[in-house]
Amino acid sequence: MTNMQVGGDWNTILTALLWLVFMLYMLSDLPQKTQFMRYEKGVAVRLGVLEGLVKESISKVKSYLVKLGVSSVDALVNSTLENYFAIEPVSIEPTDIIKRLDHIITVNEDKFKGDLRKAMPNIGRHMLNNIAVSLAVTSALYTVYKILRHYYLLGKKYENWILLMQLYIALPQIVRELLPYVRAVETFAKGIPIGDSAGPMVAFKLVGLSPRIDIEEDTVYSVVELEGRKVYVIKAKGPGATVGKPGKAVAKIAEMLSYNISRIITVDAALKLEGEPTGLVAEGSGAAIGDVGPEKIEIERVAVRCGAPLDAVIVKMSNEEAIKPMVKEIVEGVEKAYQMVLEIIRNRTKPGDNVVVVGIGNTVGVY
Amino acid sequence: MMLMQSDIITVLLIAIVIGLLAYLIKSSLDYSKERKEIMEKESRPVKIIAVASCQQNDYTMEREFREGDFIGKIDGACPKCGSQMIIIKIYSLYMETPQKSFKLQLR
Repeated sequence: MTNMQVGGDWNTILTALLWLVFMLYMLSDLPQKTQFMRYEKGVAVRLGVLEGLVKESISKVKSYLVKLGVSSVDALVNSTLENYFAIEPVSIEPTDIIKRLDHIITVNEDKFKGDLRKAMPNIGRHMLNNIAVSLAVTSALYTVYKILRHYYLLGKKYENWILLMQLYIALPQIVRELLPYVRAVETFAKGIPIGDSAGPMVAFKLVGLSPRIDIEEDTVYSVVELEGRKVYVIKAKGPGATVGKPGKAVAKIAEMLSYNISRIITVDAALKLEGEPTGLVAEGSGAAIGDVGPEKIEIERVAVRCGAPLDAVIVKMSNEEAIKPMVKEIVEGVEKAYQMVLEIIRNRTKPGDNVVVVGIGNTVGVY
Repeated sequence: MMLMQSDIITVLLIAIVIGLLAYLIKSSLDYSKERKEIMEKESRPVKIIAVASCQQNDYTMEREFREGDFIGKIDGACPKCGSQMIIIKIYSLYMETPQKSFKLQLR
């Protein structure tokens, strides 16, 4: 009898409790509030991870600058993080948009490098390029963090659970994609070749240690003879971290050769699709270059003016592999791309032809 | 009979409440665990290897990357023929972390 009473009491309490929970769940906005709290907490935790990454990246750059003996490191890094944004030119009137875009990019880059040179007058060009890219990577990380924080605070302020839900869903992927950027700061500072250096590495394999001739800012070319063909190999000036201005270099070479070019071959790193193997090499047509426009259009214009076929050789890799130290699969891809370029020159040009090969990408750690 | 039926319902209800509580605790712990996992995955130790080759292609040497190395750097003389050694490759390798294997050997 006692047992039944105790059991019955528990039963009644638990049943009442479950009914209460059920009623609250179905007839109040408690589930939405709970979900909102969960989203808010989840986003806050992930933003905390991102904040930690930004701080880590800033401290890495600062310690590297201190090691190089740079004075007023804090002021330099802080000004880089907040300044040097570029505003897109007016696109409603497309006339000359490429020239205007190029002008804005060049002015911004010159201002950035000029300020760095002022702050570090005794540092060599290659080291300066490495620092510039490390600072640019940190600045990019900080900007992404600021934007995400902005939407998080907006969502919290207006209790916009849809905004928070979007952040909650997207943040794990964003955090994972940003993680390699933290390591990239160290990679650039030390001058280790990255996945994106695949194009310059193919160019190096073609020319070896032959003399580099300056043709544009941070861009060089070398001339090699290959079975009777004259091959003009263009790449960014290494081994510092820079992408140079390959499009303008192609335009200058074309002008120098009176537009007598039989073929233009561009070699670059390209993003692979999920499931594709790293280091896969593919060949196509067009200019393999991932800039916003000014450099790519120069190569296309030269190809059209010369009536020269434009080949694209790409080495596939993921977004994170492109900025991480080069992995062995990409090194093997570089060898395959090099063989492919040789094959194109041998089979699709004739002895006596002028051929232009452009190794596109960041030349960090590649001479 | 009635006593037994009442006990079963009580046990079932207690189990549901405990299950819900366990889920609540687990989901809140998952946030901190996720952060730890991401950091561990990304901080896998990496070794950077520099490969230098003799200009005459008769000797190749592999060593760990040193700051200042770059592809195309002249890295001493070949111990075989005395010509220049040039760094031709620099790549990264994930260092193996010792793990206990419980795989059965089926051979």
